[in-house]
Amino acid sequence: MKKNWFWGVVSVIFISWIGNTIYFESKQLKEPVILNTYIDVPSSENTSFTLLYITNKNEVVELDSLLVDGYTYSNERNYFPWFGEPSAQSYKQEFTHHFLKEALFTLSEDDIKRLHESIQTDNVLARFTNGQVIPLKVDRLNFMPNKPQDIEFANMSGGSYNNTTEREIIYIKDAITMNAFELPKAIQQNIDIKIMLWKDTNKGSSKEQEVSMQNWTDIDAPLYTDVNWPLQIEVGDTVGLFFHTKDDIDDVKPIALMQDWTGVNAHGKSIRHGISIQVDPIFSQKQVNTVVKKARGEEK
Amino acid sequence: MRNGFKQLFIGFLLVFIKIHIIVDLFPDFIGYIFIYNGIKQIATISSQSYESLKVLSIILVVVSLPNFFMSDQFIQQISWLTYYPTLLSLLKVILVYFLFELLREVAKLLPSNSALLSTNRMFYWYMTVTLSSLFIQSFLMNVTMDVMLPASILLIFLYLIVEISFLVYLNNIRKRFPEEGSFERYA
Repeated sequence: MKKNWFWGVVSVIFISWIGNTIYFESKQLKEPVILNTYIDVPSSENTSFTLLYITNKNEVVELDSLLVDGYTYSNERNYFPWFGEPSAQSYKQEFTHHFLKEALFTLSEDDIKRLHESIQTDNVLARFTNGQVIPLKVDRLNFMPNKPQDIEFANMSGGSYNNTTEREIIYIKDAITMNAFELPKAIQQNIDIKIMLWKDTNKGSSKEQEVSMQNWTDIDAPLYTDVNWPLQIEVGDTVGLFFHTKDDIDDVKPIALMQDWTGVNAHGKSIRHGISIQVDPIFSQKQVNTVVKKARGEEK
Repeated sequence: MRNGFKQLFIGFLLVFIKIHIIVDLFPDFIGYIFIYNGIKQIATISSQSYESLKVLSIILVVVSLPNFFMSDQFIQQISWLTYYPTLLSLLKVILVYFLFELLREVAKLLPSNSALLSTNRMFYWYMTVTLSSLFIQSFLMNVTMDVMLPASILLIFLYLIVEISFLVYLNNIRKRFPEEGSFERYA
């Protein structure tokens, strides 16, 4: 009887190890997954961009470099552990079985040309430190020439004030008529935009600042799809654009976009204002599970 | 008898301490050879059977041999070796379980009842801590680090306490037996 309890406990431990190992193995990736991203921003002499990728937590694997048309571009965020500790890893977010990591690349103007040509033919490869090479597949990776902003607009403030909402407050210096603001199709489901128009404001008035600090749901302004376009804006008006990342959808992705908002000024001249949209999402365990299931072929 | 307990003590001490500089300076397999010798001496003097303990000790001498060359860092890097330390721990717990059966019988040879009581107490503590550790450890591969780290620290802390207590217990039991020769004559 005494021995029975002992062997019973040993059996439970054995079964527990087998069960946990099977569950653990069912969550492992055969190769790292580079997350979808949407990058469409102005280029400069040296243009930097980041890619996010997921690796198994128990393997020390980093994105080593991008291979573009025979050229190699190294990840500038490669991690060199202290004291040569081989199991130490650098990561952006931790999940139950995976790490979300970030790679940073800086390209010159010539490199960008090369990248453009290769990305159109799906010929960009990502090489990992364990020797695995996978094709880079993202929604968009585009760097366009920088265009100056038109003088009718004077930015007052911008930036992110919580994890999911960004704002851009624009003071209008000349009467203008603005066309409908549109987002690229690939990111329409990722972002909501509210547009607020304050009449006869003085630059720097507190009204805009107060609204700027409100939560997304508290901002009393129409969604950009509900606005009566074109939008007439007079001298001294202020426009607020509030961007909200829909972080509860499965296809959440990092976005870096300079989107043109076009219109005409009082003299009928076409004008544009480049609006910067940055989405640096915080991924949930559920979203990572969806990515892993897709990569393992368990979900389409 | 004293010498048998001394060998057990040295053996478990070697298994407990691991300082890896190129190789393990306190090799486990030598520890298990000491343990085997200790068991043999104690069982022979007390006229107890030790077949299971003999087989387990020999298995552990062989299985722990690679541990002499491999550091913990090296084991972590190789996926199929991940379960090696767990296998060693499980075999060791089974060995200790059978060892306690022998120690209980040996404790009964002493005139005072206190040796048997302390043996039983040590047995239940050792088994509770080591078996629950092994059970909890099986879940750690499927949790995030904020759960894994405190749980690991707690398990290591409990493991250290119970292993040191076990060594202290072996040393105390050894002292309860008379000097070498006299007990053997009595037995």
